Amino acid sequence: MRVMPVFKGDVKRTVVEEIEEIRREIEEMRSRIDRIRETMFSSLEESVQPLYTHYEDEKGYHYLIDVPYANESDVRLTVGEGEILVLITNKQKQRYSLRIRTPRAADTSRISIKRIKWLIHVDIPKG
Amino acid sequence: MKVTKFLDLELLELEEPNLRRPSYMIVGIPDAGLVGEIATEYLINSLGMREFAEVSYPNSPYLVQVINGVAKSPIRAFYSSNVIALNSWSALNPDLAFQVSGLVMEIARKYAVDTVISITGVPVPNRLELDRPSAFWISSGEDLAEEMSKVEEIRKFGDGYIVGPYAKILLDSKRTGIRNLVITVESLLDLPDPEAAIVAIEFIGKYIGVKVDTSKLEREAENIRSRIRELMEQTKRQMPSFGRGTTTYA
Repeated sequence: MRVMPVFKGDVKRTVVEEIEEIRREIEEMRSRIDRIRETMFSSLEESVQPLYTHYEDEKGYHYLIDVPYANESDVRLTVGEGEILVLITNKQKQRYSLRIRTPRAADTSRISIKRIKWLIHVDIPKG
Repeated sequence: MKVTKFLDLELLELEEPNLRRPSYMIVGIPDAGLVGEIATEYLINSLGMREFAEVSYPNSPYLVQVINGVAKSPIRAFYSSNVIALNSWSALNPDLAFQVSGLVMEIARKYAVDTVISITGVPVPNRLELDRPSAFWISSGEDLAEEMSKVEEIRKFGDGYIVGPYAKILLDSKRTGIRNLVITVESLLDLPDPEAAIVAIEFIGKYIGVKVDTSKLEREAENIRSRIRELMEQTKRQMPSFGRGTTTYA
């Protein structure tokens, strides 16, 4: 025996309103993503690659980035398809960007950023 | 202006300094952490040294430094009462580095310099964990080694290798009898290391008997790193050709 959903008039309206609400939220999120993407690409176009060095040990992959007049709060990190993008805007409004190819063993959910002495340290742990 | 040829180089001298004794020649060639370049430039400025010569390489000019609207060679020599300093504001390819090293000894001989002091960095993996990097000495001969072994704030480098332009200066100094002291400080390899440069400056100040205040270098480290970014990029490209990417290694 098949059980058909039965709605009274007001319940049906509530569900429709909820669906409409979710649709609006998705739209808002989509335009927010577009805005972030636009900002990111314009930042990339105007940025220079910072001096950096990197090494790997048993714990993970470590990137030491030298951006004068910057600390960890000036760093924006985006994890994309096979790539980690590090954007740094320093106190003098100069933009730096570094694209890091995501290492195969990387756990991108646990990336940490800190300042050690005068360098920005991006730490990508191994999974 | 007096022009002296040395291999493919020309030393263009505006004046000929008379140095008091004992006399020293400090050499800063960009390599690991730009320790030598940062330290030598800072000493030139803080000792108020006067420019007296430029090194030009007419057969392959690839870079001219412009200072206050005036074109200059990126390799220049300065002096104060008993010190000459030769600094390069440009990375040197191995051929040019070899020739500049030879010219260092020619200048030292001409001005009867007692001791040539080369400044460099020794890259160490735990550099960022060190509160204060250590300095080590390498000597061209036994007499200087004995003198240095009595100095407490700096240790003997011990066993290892030195490659690149400073190796040639060490070997040339053995031949010419001019003493050569290499000061190498634990540093980063391919990022500018002003903290290591401060350690080198503080030791050299004491060694040559001048008071050097390094607080300005600490304050202006951000600005200095910003200014020498391109020099570090150039130096990174040249360093592997000096050998294994480092200039001193234990």
